[in-house]
Amino acid sequence: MDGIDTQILMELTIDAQLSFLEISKKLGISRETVRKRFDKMKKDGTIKLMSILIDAHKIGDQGAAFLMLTCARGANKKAIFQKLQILTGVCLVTQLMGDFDFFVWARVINMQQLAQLLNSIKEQKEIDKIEPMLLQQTYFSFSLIPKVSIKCDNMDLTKRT
Amino acid sequence: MIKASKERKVDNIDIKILQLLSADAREPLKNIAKKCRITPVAALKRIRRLKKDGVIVSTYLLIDNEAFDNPYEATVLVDASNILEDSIKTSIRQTNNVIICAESIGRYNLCALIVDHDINGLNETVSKIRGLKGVNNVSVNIWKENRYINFTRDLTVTGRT
Repeated sequence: MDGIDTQILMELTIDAQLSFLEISKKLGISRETVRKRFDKMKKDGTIKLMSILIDAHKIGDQGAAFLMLTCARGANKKAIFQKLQILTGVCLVTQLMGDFDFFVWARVINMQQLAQLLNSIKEQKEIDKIEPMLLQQTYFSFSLIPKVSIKCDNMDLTKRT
Repeated sequence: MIKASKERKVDNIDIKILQLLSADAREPLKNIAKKCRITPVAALKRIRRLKKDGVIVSTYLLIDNEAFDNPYEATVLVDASNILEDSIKTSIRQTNNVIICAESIGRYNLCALIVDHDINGLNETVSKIRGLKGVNNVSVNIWKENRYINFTRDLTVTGRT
């Protein structure tokens, strides 16, 4: 990674769909250079994913839910982690160190779906308690200058302005 | 009142386009058209409309963390006094390394995600939040290594009329 790579990344964080030609014009380098460097960064995994941010309200969602789960003593957390992933509406699951054991980020399509989700979590015998938090926001827009970027496999959560 | 432009309802082809673009924001128009069984022109029109209607908010880039080195993320839940909630929210959003801060309905009224290079930095951010006037209780939960993230798996048209 050098300055030019970083500059290309910066341009792409502003708009991931920018054409190589436009990037090359902005940076004053040849289009071929941009293409080569882009391909290299994609191949070596520097660029993990280019994706779009969707306003879930517009496709019918009511909001989002952050669920904080507490497991029973001696619960098999690996198995719970696997089970939580496959529940409908679940976008993100991570194990925690702190007051709670799991953090689940789920879509809220409607109250029925949320109730169903909570029920299917409760069915897992090893989960003691669910602390649900309802959010009206369904997406978060971040300024994407990679001052800090979060380590996720599918989403860039970089500093919001 | 008459709206200048009417928002069209998102249909199944739109959802397919959203899924394809989520997997790769630079997916060639030709491929999108082929997979959706529409012409490239129709695909382009749909993408433009999705952007205009605000369904697609923006694009984002996920960069490998190795390149930027920030391994600690935490979900921070804040129980804030109702009167000062707004000012607390603003202060938290302005704090370095806070990537999300959203109002929620539940035991805690603010949810934040924070990220930092090391545990000391994380501690500093949390201390700042704890020190804000009107903050009653803060629950800090650090993310463990294993996580599952997929924001578009269950994307469907949810009957919004």
